[in-house]
Amino acid sequence: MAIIVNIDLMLAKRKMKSQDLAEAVGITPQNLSILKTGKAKAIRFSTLENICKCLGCQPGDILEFKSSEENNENSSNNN
Amino acid sequence: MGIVNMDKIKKVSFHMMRAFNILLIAIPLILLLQWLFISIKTTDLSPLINFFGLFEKEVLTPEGLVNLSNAVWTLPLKALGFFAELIGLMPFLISLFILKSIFNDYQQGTIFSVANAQKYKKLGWISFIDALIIKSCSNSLLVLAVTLTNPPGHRYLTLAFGTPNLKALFLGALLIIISWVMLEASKIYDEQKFTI
Repeated sequence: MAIIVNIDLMLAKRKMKSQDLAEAVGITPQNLSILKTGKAKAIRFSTLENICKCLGCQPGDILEFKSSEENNENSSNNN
Repeated sequence: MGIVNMDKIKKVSFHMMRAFNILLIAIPLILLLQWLFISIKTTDLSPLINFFGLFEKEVLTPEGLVNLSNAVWTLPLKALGFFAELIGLMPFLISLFILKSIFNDYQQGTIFSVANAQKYKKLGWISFIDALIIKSCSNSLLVLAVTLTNPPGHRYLTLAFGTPNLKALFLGALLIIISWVMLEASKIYDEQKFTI
């Protein structure tokens, strides 16, 4: 997927648990997991707003765009 | 409210599956009984026993309506008649299996899914095939079984395509359209499910 969700990175920086973030944002841990694993098809502005509020960051810190070519390069470098 | 409705769906689905199970056993059994006692006339029995028109069934041949209890039946002809009607019933029985599977999914709480939409599509195609091929084949075999003991020149192998077939064709087309709408609905449901 071209859009990468960097919630894990932000959680590590803030030393916060996924469970706590899910509770603070008002979503289920399962839904947060869907978001983190990149299975989500869309994110509501209200959810994004709450995540940014809880983590004290900007939407750009959580969401990142990577073209498929970049993804391919990264995976070939890893191999 | 949503959970209450889901419980109702699960309860109704359970009863529907039970009904389908009973029909799946009862229908072939009634057919078998019908052909075992094909020569019995209602005058020999109380009219109360002739439920579902079980005895003295009539079939339309090129020589007019023939009461099956008046035809000459040998064991192979009885078997042919039974299999002719069983072939005619196959689409309905297969549809019952598919409906059972659909209601089983409903009972598990899966309502909008691609698999369910495809099952509706299968029902539609079965109705189509039934109308186009199976009804005609079944009727042809039944007429052949009834008229096979007639003198040469009065034995018939017919192929009919009438209004009952058109009804099944219409039903089939309708089910295929419904399955397409369900498929789109399941895609929308998936989109919503993965919108966080």
